[in-house]
Amino acid sequence: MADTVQRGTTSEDATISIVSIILRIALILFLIYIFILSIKLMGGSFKLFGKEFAQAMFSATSNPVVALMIGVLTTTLVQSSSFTTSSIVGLVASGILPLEAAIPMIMGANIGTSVTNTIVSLGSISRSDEFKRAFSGSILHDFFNVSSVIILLPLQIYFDIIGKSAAVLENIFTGFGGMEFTSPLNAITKPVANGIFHLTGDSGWLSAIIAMILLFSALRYIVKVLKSLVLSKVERFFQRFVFRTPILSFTLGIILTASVQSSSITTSIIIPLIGAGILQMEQIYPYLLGANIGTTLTAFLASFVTGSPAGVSVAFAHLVFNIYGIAIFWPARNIPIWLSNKMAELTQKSKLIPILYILVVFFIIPGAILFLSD
Amino acid sequence: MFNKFKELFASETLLDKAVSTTLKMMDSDHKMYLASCTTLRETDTAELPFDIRKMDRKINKYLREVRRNVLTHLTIAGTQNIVPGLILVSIVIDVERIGDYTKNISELAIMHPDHLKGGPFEDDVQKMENTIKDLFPRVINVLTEQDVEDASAILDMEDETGKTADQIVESIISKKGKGLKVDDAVCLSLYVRHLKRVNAHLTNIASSIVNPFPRIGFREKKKKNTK
Repeated sequence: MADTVQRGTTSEDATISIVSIILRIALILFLIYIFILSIKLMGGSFKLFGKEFAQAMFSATSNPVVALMIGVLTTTLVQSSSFTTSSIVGLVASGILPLEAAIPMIMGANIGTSVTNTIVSLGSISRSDEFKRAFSGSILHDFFNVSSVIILLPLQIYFDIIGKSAAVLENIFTGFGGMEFTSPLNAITKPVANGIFHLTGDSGWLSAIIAMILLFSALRYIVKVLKSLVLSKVERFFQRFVFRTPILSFTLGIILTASVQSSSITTSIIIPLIGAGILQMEQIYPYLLGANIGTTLTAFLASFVTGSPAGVSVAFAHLVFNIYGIAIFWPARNIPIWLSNKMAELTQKSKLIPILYILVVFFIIPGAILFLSD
Repeated sequence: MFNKFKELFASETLLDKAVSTTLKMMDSDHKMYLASCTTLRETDTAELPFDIRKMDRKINKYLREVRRNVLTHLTIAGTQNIVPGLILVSIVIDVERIGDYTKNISELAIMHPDHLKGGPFEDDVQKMENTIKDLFPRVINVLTEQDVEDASAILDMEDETGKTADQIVESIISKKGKGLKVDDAVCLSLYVRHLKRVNAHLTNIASSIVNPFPRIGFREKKKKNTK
């Protein structure tokens, strides 16, 4: 208890705290600049690949199921849907990837991102009851995302409902002069991006690799710094009364995920609380749906950098897909909750089941489909 | 609801809130102790000044709240405060047990409406009661002010209360307590036993301020004089 109660802070403590916050904010601004630069660089690199690459990309992603699996596998491997969606925005903005192929990939990114919290739940695998609760809570996000894809992917393939809705929203956004907002972002990164192109001798592959590394590092550290800056300030929001009201829980999911720029972080932190029985499935469900909305902010930031209406359409497609999913599975929440509970019950029979589940859903199925599709 | 929203934006962490709740529990324990002892020892009625059972249920509720808040804090804010968090979860059990024992004393007061006389042990019992009465505010102050010096002083005190309780019970069993009626003897045995436990739990709480985590609830062995 000796260091439990810290009553009263000295002015020296307060100064250190303010300096630390200012430094972290400066670091975030720098990392955002690197993020913007990486998107700019990526778009330029893809353009250097030429028509042949674009045709190969078009042919590889022409099958929506294959595109979906690319989204799942890429996100699972890098453990960041922001990385996948930002890359997709870059690809679409540079004309390498058509919007129709990008939408299933975005759906796949939504599925792939939920692997993190499922892995987190394995931390309590040795304590049977606690694990059952934690695992069911973690796969609830998976079941929501997979159920949304099962309903919305066929509707997208046959009626292009997400593409059309995204196009309408993009037109409204452009009509309001939204694209003008993107030009300053373009201007601040152009000189550095041009310098990198010059240094790489206008090699598309080399610039693309540099862009990917910058994007991955920027996102990784943005999340890390934002997490340290935001989470300690919002722990009171995790009190049960917030989760008793679905709208509050949903809003918390949106705001927190948009603030830390990672749905993996915000969905993973609640897993131990579900395992401990502090939060219930019904209470976290709206929060998970809110996290899906909050995470779409990254694609918007990336699309503003590209300054391309097609890039903005991808960001809107990400948002629309999640809104449609919520419109269907908020009222029909019993389906994913029931499925998660049943799946968690199976884990009581063997500890191998959750591990097999992760391998099959996130690696074997996407890998096999990609392999078979040649 | 508005107050709950206001609370969300308070600057204190959930760990701070858990500390405040623990102090609230200690205050309730203190009130329950004074009320139950006074009713048992000084009044000829079974009527307690307030509903001690209800207050004990509230303490149990607070205990769950402390555990929830500590766990949520450690989950979200990381492991930086893991030691104070674990210490708090550990001592809050002592605080809750004190509530249980004071409730048991109040049950004795109900079962034994006449005021309980200590007979030949009256002076010893009064000494025990006064020691604990003094210890309550000291332990609360030790927790609030993180008073390491007084916490050490509490731990350095000989466990006279425990020893006296054992001697009284032993004397009653070996029929040395002549002059006590059977009902008084039974009640007194139980009473001093409860006092012994309350004293022990209070000392455990004080130990959390000075002892390292694995040694909370234990008195440090006194070093032998090597002169």
